[in-house]
Order: sequence, then structure tokens, then C-alpha cells
Amino acid sequence: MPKQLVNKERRVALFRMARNFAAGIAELLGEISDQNAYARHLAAQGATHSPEEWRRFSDERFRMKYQQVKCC
Amino acid sequence: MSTFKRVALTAFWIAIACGAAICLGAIASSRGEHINSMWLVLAAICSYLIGYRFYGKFIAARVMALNDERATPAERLENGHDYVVTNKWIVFGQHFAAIAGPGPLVGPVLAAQFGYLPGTLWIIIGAVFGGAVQDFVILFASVRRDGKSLGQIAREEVGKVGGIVALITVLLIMIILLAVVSLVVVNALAGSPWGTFTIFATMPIAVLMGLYLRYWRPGKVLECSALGVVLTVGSVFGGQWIAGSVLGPVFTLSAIAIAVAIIIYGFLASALPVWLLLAPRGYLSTFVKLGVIVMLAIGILAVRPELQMPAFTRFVDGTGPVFAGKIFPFCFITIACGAVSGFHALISSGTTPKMLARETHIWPVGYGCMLLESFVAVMATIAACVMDPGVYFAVNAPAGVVGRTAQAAVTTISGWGFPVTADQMASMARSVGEVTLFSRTGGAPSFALGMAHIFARGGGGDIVLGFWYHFAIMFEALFILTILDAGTRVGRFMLQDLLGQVWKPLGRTGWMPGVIGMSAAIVGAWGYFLIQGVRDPLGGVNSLWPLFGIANQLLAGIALSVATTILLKMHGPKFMWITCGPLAWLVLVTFSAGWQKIFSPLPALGFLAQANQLEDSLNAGSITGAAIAQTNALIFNARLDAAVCGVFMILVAIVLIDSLRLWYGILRGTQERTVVESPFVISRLTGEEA
Repeated sequence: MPKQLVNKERRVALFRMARNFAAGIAELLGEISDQNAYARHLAAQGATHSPEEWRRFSDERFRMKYQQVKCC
Repeated sequence: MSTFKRVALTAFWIAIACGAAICLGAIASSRGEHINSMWLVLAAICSYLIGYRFYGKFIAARVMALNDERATPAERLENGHDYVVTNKWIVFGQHFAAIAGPGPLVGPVLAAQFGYLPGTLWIIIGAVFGGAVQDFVILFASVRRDGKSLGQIAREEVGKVGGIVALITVLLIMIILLAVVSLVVVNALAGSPWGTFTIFATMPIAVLMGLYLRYWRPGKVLECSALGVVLTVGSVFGGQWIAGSVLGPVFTLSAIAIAVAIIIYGFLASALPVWLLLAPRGYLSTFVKLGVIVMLAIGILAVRPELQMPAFTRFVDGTGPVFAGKIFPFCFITIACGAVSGFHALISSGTTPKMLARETHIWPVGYGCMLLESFVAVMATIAACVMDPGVYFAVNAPAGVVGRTAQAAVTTISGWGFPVTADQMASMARSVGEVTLFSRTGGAPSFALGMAHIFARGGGGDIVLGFWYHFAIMFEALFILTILDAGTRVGRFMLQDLLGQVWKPLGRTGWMPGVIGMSAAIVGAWGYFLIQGVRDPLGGVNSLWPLFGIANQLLAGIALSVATTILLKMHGPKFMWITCGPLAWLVLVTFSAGWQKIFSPLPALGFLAQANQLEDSLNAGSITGAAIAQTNALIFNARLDAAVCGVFMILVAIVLIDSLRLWYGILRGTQERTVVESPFVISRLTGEEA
């Protein structure tokens, strides 16, 4: 295979890796911030985002979350 | 796999094993010269890789027989709330964020009084053979039981006694934990207007975030957290200006004043709506925590500082100023969460098992996360050991041991063979924007100093030292206070749960008199121990941290007993050594530490000896006036600590005896070997989904 093509393939692979890594970080941030859980909640309920819906979701979420111990 | 690949892979693992052996050998045999921190980093990483790849895989494949064809609770019981099929690395991040607390930062810093070697070895070995195995087996047990909690598993597998004792132990440990972590914050902030302002500022910032999320931009948590981080970093900058302004004296508070402020905060946080204070602080703290851990790892790798602390200090004989007690058992008790943490068993049987998509994900999440936590503890050891030992002891030794004046302290510490001067300490205090750094016990200030030096050497030099020191203090205090507010609330729920059995209205979480009464009871309990620690002439850490360490390791003992019972029921005695080995070690360590803390004849170590010594002084008439009442309080506190330590040991002994009875029955064949697992359901997840 020509050297130029190999380099291009490597660059594409590297770019894909970086993109996957960034997507993974974004996914983690979304999970830690409960934004992903909220999206799942909306999908499960067939609801659309509204301040009331968020308050309903977060009240339940926080109630569950703050019944768990935090680690030392 | 092709032969070439197999040979290359074997060569790779041989190289890693040799790397681990060489690095561990280098740090263990180096004497009388400074070694580079990279030896510790490489020793840890190579050991973790070997432990993960071989020991972890052995447990996963042979002992647990993890099976991806078996549907996990996340798949079978998916409800969009707590049971949710989640990507492996997301669960890894979530689990790590949940288990990483202040313990692996503070414990190793305190244990550095023995030198860098004992702590580092225990952090690495303890995590690979103990802590990670405990987390792994409990997570596995919970996944196989629909995500049940440790208490429920203990009740089903060991018996009713185990379940109830586990619940009471957790409540008691939490009270001691909340007191000791609050004490760390108090000692870091006392007399420090910069630090105090920064931490006070995080409260209105959290309330602002709460209102922002609730009313202005509902659901925009990341946006809101970014704003919170910017404001918090701004408050670290602002703190320097405040400290030098007319407001400086307002934020210069005594230890007692800060303790009272923290107690009031704990009560408010427990009784106020979660969305207003707790939840936004939780988000802020998690993001800052993960960010700082990554920054510290990058900082250490970039700067590669030399360790100034020797491999061993003279204090292995038990005469240490930071806390009393010989290297065995107190090094292991003090390190606590960095190697083995009983609290992790609660997380491993909490949210995490309800999110795992496949059984094989238990291996990286359960075993791998603990190794990462252990690495955080190694970084904390490095941060403590890059300082001059003289400076380390000047910061961490209480005034009751080294003397109340700067001159007395440096004379005592230099006399131990760790030279330090009053000018050196004054100049260091000035460079970080503090009035004094003498006797800032608790571990947080010395960790912050080490971290600030590493970051400052990475860029900016002495000019940025003050910023990084207070940034580190803010980071530690922020997530300690998050544990405090959430812990108080959870403690309140537990107490309501228990007392609701006696009088129903007390169990109702919406009944305000019950909420206020139970919050006050929990805050009062840990607040009492906090005030006791603040008034302790030996700095409080000397008595409270070992008490916390013993309690935490005893909880690990309960978790490992449950784990051993499960392995025994699954395979007979064949694999029980995997959890029984660390359990036997922990029982030896915790019971000998507990015994010494109660009955040692040395007043610096034994609670009862301390009480008797004070009582003798009172009876001899050498204590007069207002000091009499204070001494009576100290005598009562020492006896209370002895009683608490005794209760912990009795509770765990009950679980152990109950487990031994069961094991004996199983081994003799008089007890049934039934494992209470949820039924096998075939997984329908495709590769893409998992």
C-alpha cells in the first residue's frame, strides 16, 4: 500500500479514536449530571421537556440518590 | 490468536511483571537517598496490571464463572430509573466517583509518618488482594441477587443477626466518619480567612445553582455545573483579596467557631429540600473531584518529584507525633480506604449492580475501580512525601506534642532528626497566604501543600503556590462537606427507619417534627465527637482517625464474611481462601488495633490509660480552677471512645461467630449449601447494546 494512503488511514483511525474518547467523556458527564437519566425518563414517559417535568423527575431522582450512603 | 501474537503477549506480561518486581525492589531497598516518585507510580501501575489481568481474571473466570449469557438485573428489571442498562465505562466512571472519598487522600498522608514505604506497600498489596477482591465479590453477589444491599445479602446468606448487625454498624461508623472528616475541615480552616471564605462561598454558589436548575434553566445540569465551577474557582481567587481586606477578621475563625458552623450547616442540609443545597453541591463536588484527581495524576507524571521522606522513619516504634501506635497494626488502620474499605461494599451493593449490562463488566468495575482508588492513595502518599520531613511533622504534629510556640516546635522536630526552622515555616506559610502552618493536623493541609508544590513546579512557581494550596483545601473541604450533608441525611433516614418500628410517626419522612428531631439527633451525635476532637489537646485526629479506621476495616470484615459464605456455598472450601485470607488479616489487624486503643497502658495510645492518667492528675490536685471541668470532660470522652471501639468489636465479633457457625455446618455437611441467587434468564442484549 502506498505510504501516503497508510498515513491517511492512520490519521483517520486516530481521529476516530479521539472522537470516541470525547464521546465517552461526554456520555460520562451526561450520566454524572443526570442529564442522560432525564432523557431516558422523558423517553420512557413519552413526555417532552418542561420545567414541571424536570422538577418531577429530579424530586424522585434526588429522593433515591440521597438515601444511599456516600463513600469515605 | 497467531503464535506470534501469543509470544508477543507473553513477552509483554513478563516485561510488566519484571517492571513490578524491579520497581517494588527499588523502593523497598532504597535507603539513605532520595528516590524519584516515578518508582512508586510505576510499581503501582505494573502491580495493578498484573493483579487485574491474572488474579482478577482468575476470580472472574474460575471462581465466579461470570456469564454474559445470563441477563443482569439492569436488563431483566429495567425501569428507566435505577435499573438501567449502561455502558461499561460509564458505570466505571459512576462507580469510581461514588467510591472515591477523602479517605484515600487523608489516610496515606497521616500514615506517611512511618515513611513512604510501609504505606505504599500496603496500599498496593492490600488493594490487589483485599480491597479489590471485596468490592468484586460483593458486586458479583449483588448482581446475582437483583442488586440487593449488603444488609439484605447478609440476612439471606448468613442469617438475621448478620443483617441487623450490619445496619447498626453502618449507622455507628457513619457517625464517627462524619465527625472525623469534619475535624479534617476544621483543622484546615481554623485561623485561615482565605480558606474559610472560599468554603463559605461554595454555599451561596450551591444555592444559586439549585435555584438556577429548579426555576431558571431546569434540566441544564452540565451548564449549571460549569457555572458553579467558574464561580468556585473565582472564590479561591477572591479569598486572597478578602483575607487582606477589612473582611479578613470576619473570616478568621477559631476551630470551635468553625466546628459550630459546620454542625449548623449539617443540620440545615439535612432538613432543607435536597434540590436547594445538597444536589447542586453534589454535582459540583463530583466534577471538581474527578477533575482534580486527573490533574494530580498529570502533575505527578509531568513533574516527577523526588521524595524527601525516608523509606522508614523512627516512628515505626509507635512514638509518632501524628498518631500513636506501632507500624503494626496502625499503618493498616490509618491507610483504611486506600487499600480496603468496608464502605465500598455498600456502594457495590447499591446503585452499581443495577446498571451493569453484562456480568463480565463486574470485573473492570468491581476490581478495576478499587485499583484506581488505590492509585489515588499512592498519589496522596507522594504529595505528602515530596515535602521536607521536618515540614511534614511541623504541619501534622499537634501542639500538645511539639509545643505551642514555633521555636518549641522546631526544636522538638529537629531533635527527632528532621531539621526544620521557624524561618522556613514562616516563609512557607507566607507563600501560601497563611499566618501559620504549625500543627495543622488532619492531613488536609499537608496534602494541599504537597499538591500545591507539585502544581507550582509544573508552571508558575512560588507566585501560584497560594492559589493552588487554597484550591486544594477547597477541593478537599468541598467533597468532605458533601459527604457530611448527604451522610447526615442518610443517617436521619436510617434512624427514622429504626425508630419508626417503635413509634410509627417517627418513621414518616414527611413529618416535620420527626425530620427535625432525627436530623438533630444525628447532627448531635457526630457534632459531639467533632467538638471532642477540636478540644482534644492531642488534636483529635490521634483518637478519632484510628477509631474511624478500625470501624471501616471492621465493616470490610463483615463484607468479607458475607463474601466467604457465598464462595463456600458456591464451591465448598476450594476457593474460600480468596476472601478468607484478607478477612483473617483484617480481623488480626482491627482486633489488635481495637484492643490496643482500649487497653494499652500508654496514655497516648490507650483510651482507658489516658482517662486514668487524667483522673490521677485530678486526684493528686495538680489540676485546678476551670481546668477541672475540662479534664472531667476529657476523661468522659476517653471512656466514651473506649466504649465505642468496644461496641464496634463486639458487633463484628457477633457477625464473625455467626458466619463461623454457618461455615462449620456447611463443611461438616449439617447445613444446606443453598445459594440464594435470582433465576437464570438468558440475555437478549446484542453486542451493540452492551
